[in-house]
Amino acid sequence: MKFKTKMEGDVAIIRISGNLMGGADSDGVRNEIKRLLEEGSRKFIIDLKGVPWINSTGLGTLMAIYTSVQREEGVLKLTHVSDRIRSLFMITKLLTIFDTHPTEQEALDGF
Amino acid sequence: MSDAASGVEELVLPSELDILERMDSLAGKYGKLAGFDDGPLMEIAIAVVEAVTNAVVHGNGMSADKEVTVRFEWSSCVFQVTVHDEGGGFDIDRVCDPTDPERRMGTSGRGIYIMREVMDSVVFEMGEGEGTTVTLRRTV
Repeated sequence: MKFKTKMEGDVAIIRISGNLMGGADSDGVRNEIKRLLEEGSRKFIIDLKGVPWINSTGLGTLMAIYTSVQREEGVLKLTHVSDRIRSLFMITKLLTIFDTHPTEQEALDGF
Repeated sequence: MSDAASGVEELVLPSELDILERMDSLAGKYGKLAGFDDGPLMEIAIAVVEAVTNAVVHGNGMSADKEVTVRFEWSSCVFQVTVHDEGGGFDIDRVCDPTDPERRMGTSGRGIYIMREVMDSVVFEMGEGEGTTVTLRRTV
């Protein structure tokens, strides 16, 4: 799993590619969000276009990110959520927690 | 021995997260041979990935000295997978519901819940020094 960060105005867009399965890679994304929060960013989009699926450990990573952004009164949006990831959100009753959008542009327009 | 409608494959694997993608792929392959459609196939793959994640991470602690054994069995309308680790086991009675309001925002503890939600049966077997075996089964 890899990720890249791009700033679009005051919105940090983190594009992830590869399956989110926990481990050191997931820690990297969490640390990136932490760094951005420390630098003052409060608006985040995580683009999951390149993520076919996640497991419960990856879901835990998303929950940790969501909680850390919420704690700083920030906003987190997810884009390109695959059917499988959406299914995992439904099974775990987290579908209403995450603010999901079909595309990055639609997520940006909502800020 | 396998034919198009039934078969068995057993794999002995290292305790690494990298094996999950292969397990996902095999779950889809053998679930399809058992006769499942796309929706249930996705759920079966989700459950298999959770079972193997638990074995790798919680059972074997990602130790290079421990292995995970995964046995796929399929026949017409039935898919079963057995996942064995070499860990110390756990108290199944102490597994909490991660959808409880006070736990809903937690960052862990969802794997067994997910397996139970999507499979017809999830059976754990643990013995002193024998590791943990979980058997997941679903019929069409």
